[in-house]
Amino acid sequence: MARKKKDILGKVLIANRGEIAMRIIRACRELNIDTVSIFSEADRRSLHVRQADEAVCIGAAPAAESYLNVDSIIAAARETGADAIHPGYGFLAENADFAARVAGEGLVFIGPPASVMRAMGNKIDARRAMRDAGVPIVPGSTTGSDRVKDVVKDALAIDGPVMIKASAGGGGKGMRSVEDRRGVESAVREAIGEAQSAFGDGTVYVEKRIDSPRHVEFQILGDTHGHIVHLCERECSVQRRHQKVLEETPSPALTPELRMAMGNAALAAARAVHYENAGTIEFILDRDGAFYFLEMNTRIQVEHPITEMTTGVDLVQWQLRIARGEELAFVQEQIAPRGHAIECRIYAEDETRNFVPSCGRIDCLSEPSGPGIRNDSGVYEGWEVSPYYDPILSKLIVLGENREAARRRMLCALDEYVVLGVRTSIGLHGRILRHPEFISENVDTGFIERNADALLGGDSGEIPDEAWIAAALVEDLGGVGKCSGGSGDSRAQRAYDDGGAWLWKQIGNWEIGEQR
Amino acid sequence: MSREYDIRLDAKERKVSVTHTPEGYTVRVGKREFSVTDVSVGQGTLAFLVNRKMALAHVSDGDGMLQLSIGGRNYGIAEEAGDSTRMPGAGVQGGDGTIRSPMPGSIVRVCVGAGERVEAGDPVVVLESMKMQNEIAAPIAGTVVVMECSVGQQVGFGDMLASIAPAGGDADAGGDADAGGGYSRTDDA
Repeated sequence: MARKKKDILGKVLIANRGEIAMRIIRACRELNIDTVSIFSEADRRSLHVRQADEAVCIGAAPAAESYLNVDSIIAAARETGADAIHPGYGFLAENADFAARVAGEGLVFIGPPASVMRAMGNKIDARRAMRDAGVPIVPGSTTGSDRVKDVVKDALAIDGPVMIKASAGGGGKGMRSVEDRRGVESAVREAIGEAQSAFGDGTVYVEKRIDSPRHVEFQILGDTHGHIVHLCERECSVQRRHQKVLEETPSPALTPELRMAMGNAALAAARAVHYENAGTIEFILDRDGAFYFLEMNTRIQVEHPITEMTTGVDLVQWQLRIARGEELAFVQEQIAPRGHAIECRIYAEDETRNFVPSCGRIDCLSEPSGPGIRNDSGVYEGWEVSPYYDPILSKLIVLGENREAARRRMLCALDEYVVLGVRTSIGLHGRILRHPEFISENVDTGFIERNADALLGGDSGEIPDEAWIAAALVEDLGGVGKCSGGSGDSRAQRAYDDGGAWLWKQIGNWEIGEQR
Repeated sequence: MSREYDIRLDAKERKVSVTHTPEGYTVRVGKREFSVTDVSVGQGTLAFLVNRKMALAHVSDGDGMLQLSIGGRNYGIAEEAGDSTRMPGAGVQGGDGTIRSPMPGSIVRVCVGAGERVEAGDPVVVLESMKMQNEIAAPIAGTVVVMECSVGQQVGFGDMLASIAPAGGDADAGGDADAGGGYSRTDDA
């Protein structure tokens, strides 16, 4: 495969939105590459639109008409003269047809070649390829279907609880767990519907459910010259409904021997398909130390920053450098992670109500900072969270000398993180990090469900005196002004009828408006 | 000059009095009294010293809903018990059998029709929002009297989706403890 000369990436179109689009814009900028953002009509005011060098509207709010609209995206690339397309994660990131189309148009797809994506991006094909390469796989079907009847038949052929998974899937979309026979049909129907809507492909397959395993994945980088390395593992066991919530590296569950064995299996998996660019081999790890290949993600992962924090390797920059033909600048023996990193995904959702998404305007936003703290954000104060897309606002990442240092650092950072206007998962993360099972490294994928009472009940306990005092002062003052992105006429502009002169002296630039 | 407020933070309520003093304020929370000084107001922030301890609060007022963040925790504020202090995403399923949309999205499936009987927890509609399909369940057992939505329709937060008349008195309504939320994202019970 003849791949790109060194200077071929002059301008990259980013076929995504939110925090990952911002992440890619920054990586491009650091490499002197111009950026093009695409946006739907709902995202006109989004951060990634404002930060890119150029921006093109590619369709209406629903993803199918915009971020999944291949023709429109290709046209935008043509129109702006982009040399390459970076798909980010989600949307078209693991769609081999899209990758093939991009290449067919003479553009560079930043990711593995379509052939590799076909072999690995399709979860069913991946299972077959891994089985053939001698990598252990979870028992289940090695064929898939988008017909309810067929899938139900496969599910009923397996003894005990099963998982229905989208063949094109990822991130828990189009995935259902089935406890017994009665729920099979509706679960299969929902999984197919969700897969169809999220990926444009309703094919699902069935796996035996392995209860409460750990989820451990290995980061891979492969260049176009045949070099493949792994950058150690990420532990992603803190999940709710098969969606990762919090990730850390290194995994508290791996001994050096197990890390070596799983790392070698990850390399074997990647080599079996001649992997190129950034990818991830996901394993599930049973209590007895047995591990199974779960799937391969042929894209940058949401949780890639924790690997960047401990290894010092800029994965998104390397995606771009590999795409323009560079050789990896390091070999396996040089990968030496330091310290411990944790990532908290900050979603606009309400964990006390079944994780219902929380749409609305971000009225106030104050982000944490300090040593070892990184916040990959895709939003700003005054921006409106829309119902059309994944409700991730940002990813808060910390690096500490060891797990406990990282845990404490994250707790402090979460306390500093203020978001008002929408519900977020900030409080949930604090409860997870303070939970005895998390502290004692005893976390598996059943952790959140098992501890729902302690984790999902919202903030409880005594309301501190400061909160009552602050609330009363706010009432007494008639508001305390708006956050910088606020709308014009909040009660902030109202004055109060006495004490005003005193306050005026105290706070300088407070403006007195109409009398209350 | 002293003023008294009935403050409600989330579900809790307290009487708090505020007295202006030459140094700042005396604030009484229930029976406890605090000396509050060095109050400074910024863009949506309020900083003050309580008995020499620093406190920093963020305050916002979106959609007439006053919210407070202090000490890493968020609260909805209301003065006087009568005020609504609804935080975003607060409950919308009526115990009376009205089903309202818990989020904006589009209807992908309508599971029952008017006149049909449902048990508490039975799926009524499937709503797609943020790429997830969410099953909206009947909050009570009864008969569907109105279906207010159809497949493909876009609905907003709090929009009426359906209405269920309780089955034969109050006996059925409390039958299923899990049905209270009336909302589930997936089936993996």
